[in-house]
Amino acid sequence: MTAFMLALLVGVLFACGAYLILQRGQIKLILGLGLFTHAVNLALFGTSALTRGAPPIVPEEMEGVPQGADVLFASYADPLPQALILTAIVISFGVTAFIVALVYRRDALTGSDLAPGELATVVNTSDPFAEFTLRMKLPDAADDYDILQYELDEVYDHPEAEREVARE
Amino acid sequence: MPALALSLVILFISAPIFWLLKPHRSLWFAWLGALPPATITVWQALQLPAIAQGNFIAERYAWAPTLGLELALRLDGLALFFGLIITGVGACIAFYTAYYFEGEPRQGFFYLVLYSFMASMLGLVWADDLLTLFIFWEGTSITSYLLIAFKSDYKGATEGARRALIVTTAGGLAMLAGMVLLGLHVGSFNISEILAAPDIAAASITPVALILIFLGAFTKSAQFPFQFWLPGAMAAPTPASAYLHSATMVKAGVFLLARLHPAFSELPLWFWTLFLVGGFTMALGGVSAIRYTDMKASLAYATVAVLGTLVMLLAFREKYAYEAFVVTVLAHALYKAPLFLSAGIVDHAMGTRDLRRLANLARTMPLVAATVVLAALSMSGVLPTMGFLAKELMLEQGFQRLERGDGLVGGLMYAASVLAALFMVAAIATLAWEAFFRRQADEHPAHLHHAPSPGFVAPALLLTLLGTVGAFFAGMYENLLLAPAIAAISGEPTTLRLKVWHGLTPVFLTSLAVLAVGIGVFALRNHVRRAFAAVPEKFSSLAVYDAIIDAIYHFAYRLTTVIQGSPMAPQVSVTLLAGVAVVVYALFFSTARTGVLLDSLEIPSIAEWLIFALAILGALATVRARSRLSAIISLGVVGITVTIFFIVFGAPDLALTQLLIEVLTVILLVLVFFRVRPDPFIEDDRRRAFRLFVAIAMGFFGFTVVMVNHVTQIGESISPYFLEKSYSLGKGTNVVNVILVDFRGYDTLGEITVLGLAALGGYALLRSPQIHKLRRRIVAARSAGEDGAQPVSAVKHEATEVGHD
Repeated sequence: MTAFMLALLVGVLFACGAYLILQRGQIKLILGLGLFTHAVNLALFGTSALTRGAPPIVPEEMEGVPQGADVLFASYADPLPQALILTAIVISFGVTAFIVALVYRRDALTGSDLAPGELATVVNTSDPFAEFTLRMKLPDAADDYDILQYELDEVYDHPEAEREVARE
Repeated sequence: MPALALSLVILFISAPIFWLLKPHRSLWFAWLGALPPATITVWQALQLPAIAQGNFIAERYAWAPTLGLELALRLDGLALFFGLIITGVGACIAFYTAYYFEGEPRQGFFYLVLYSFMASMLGLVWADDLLTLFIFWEGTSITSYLLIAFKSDYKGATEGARRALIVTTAGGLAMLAGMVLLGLHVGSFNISEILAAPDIAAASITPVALILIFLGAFTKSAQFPFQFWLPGAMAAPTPASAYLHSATMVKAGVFLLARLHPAFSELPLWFWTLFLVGGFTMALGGVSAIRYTDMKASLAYATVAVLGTLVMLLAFREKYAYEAFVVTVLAHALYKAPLFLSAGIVDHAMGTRDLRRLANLARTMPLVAATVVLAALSMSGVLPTMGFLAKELMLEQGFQRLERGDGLVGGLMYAASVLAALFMVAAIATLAWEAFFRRQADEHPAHLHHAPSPGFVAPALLLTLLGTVGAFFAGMYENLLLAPAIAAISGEPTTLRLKVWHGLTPVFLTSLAVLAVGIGVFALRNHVRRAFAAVPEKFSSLAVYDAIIDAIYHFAYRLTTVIQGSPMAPQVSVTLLAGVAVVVYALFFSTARTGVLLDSLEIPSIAEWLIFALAILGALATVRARSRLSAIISLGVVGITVTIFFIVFGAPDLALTQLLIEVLTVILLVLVFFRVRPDPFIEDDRRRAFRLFVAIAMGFFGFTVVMVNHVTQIGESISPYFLEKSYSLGKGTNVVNVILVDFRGYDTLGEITVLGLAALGGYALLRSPQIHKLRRRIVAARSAGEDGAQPVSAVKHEATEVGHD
């Protein structure tokens, strides 16, 4: 029964994560990945029997450790998935931090004030935690690429700025 | 004593030592630089009598025994012959380098690469194992790349080097495939064993393997249609050109063919491929040489011609061909290296090596002129030189075929040899005459910067003298040096009797005619050059190569556009749905497994129900949240419930880590997103159904994976081992910790690496002030542009102000 509940939870986490990732927006990507991480960790945890309140900490004496798989699993939680998950948690944090740095960098590079044409007008830049379900319709001209595009070319090719940098 | 390995080690160790010594400080380092190769030359020379008796020195070192890899070296006649040329010419080059790069701070680096190259080359010819040979082969490719690209700020050098690298390593990979085919067929990669394998020539695998190996040899030795990289490699500093193109790198392909000759030369495939490719390359290179006014380019095409000659000669299994082969290799090393070195001296002294700007150098550089004239005599095959002997033997081989009624082969060979030879006579006569003897340069005469010192000229002169006068004393070394090499190529012992003077044979008369016509072409050289200049560029192999490279880039661009050009959502959907498809497939088409029910069917307590419910609600809230802050908090709620879950089900380590990470994540997200402007969000109703579909599919995926994992099991669990051995082997009671730091320590090392990389990457991303500054300027410039009235100084002022926030 617990396993069923766990499976249900993992399913919901995966579904919500996927739904978030498929939407536009940097924060949603990060949140979706966060949900995915939890889902994968729990799925890993579910590969072993769910043992309540029996952490895999063995006594120091050799004789204290029972032998045989059945006895062991009855008295200890399975340590292997735990070790794997521990690694996964830490790595996913590293990856999240890296993506956050990317997002920050992207913002520094392209910023909403550099967004193409009409888009800039729909962005409310004064409130950092503004609601992100602004129900705004884009003009037809803006296609899929416009929002995600990194405007690096424009930044680098700006002759004025390039001359400035060269002068230094 | 492991002398072979020791020699290689000496060279490899000398390389960094010389770099650290900063040899540009004094010319005395010329002597020191020549010392290691000279020592190895002397050692090899001492082995000559023993090797001539038919003995050989072999050394084998285990490398990766489980893979059957070993480092096998073997000094036989052929290896010794090439080895002597490599280190002998190498010593002269090393001496010359000190003068060429006099006072140049990068001289030490040149020595570093030169010695590494020399060691690779030596290892290549000494190798007795196909894979050992391959390693050294690629070593020469890489080090030659560094040598050619030495003037790294000059575009021609880097381009030429890259071209050489791409062509030779592509060929090298084909060759590796061929070698592996051969090695697997025979069951050993040892060259001696492969050559001795019975019926290896008749094996079904042989034609494929041979063609692949030919690709390697032909690319390395600049055979048609791969000859174009060699002239481009002339951008190298002259000592490197002289070394690579007279004695070493380009001879590697020829050497490989000579090495495999005993086993495969009876095949028609062998004969016709080598004969036609070699013959055509010879004619093409020979005829092209006169076209160029750059001394080194002209010499480069002459080198292509000689390489063609060598490949063509290896097609035969007859006495004269063998003799012509070894004499040509020796003669070429001894006249081409001095010619290149002289070109370098001229370049160094005059600041140019363009023939149009040079004249009358014999007066200012008599020693160089003498060197060039002697080498030119050998190259054009005038009577008492080694070059004469080489050409005589080659023509004799063609003549023998003609006499035996083989008109096709003999005629083709005769025609190609004569054509190549007379144009080479014309080319070298042009070079010597225009640079050293004529009175007036064509345009912008160059002026002497500083006359070359005797030490600068000495190595070139020494090599030239060996190559010209050496022919008289052929009797002294023909059976010591040349005969063992021939024995290794032909596979049977032999003795030599070389004669400089054969009498007035038809071959000798042909030789005279070639010289005469060659002088005639030399007289008409300007017409010939004009005629060549009229040939359109697009017929050259270089144009074809460039078109191929362009096409590859274009294809890569198109491919990337197709598979990665769409926005992120469709790409991610493909990945996610692929995962779902695998699960669906596994559900319906799975093989039988043992069913083990891990679950106890126990009804969870109220508290546990609450945990699950809270997590699910948190996840849904993350999706539905209307502001970024509430979304981040909802994710935190999910994280905390997962932490509680870990506590309940006996995973305190996980709970601790998860709690810590969760708090950190929330803080990080809030901190960063406080500074990042929100995304312009546009709800696209057309995509919503698709997103829901993918989300539900993923939900099904997660649910199924957990349920299936829980009721079935493949194989035995390895966890009991960890539980049982944790204390006895890992000396720890916390089994999870013991697994992480002991049993699976390398996994943790990998984890640390990932974290380190992420931290480095993030650090690099967060600080690159240049771009921040740039962006602020643009913003400032734009707003200035919109206002329309602000002068540039105001923009600058504004930019600096913005820069302080």
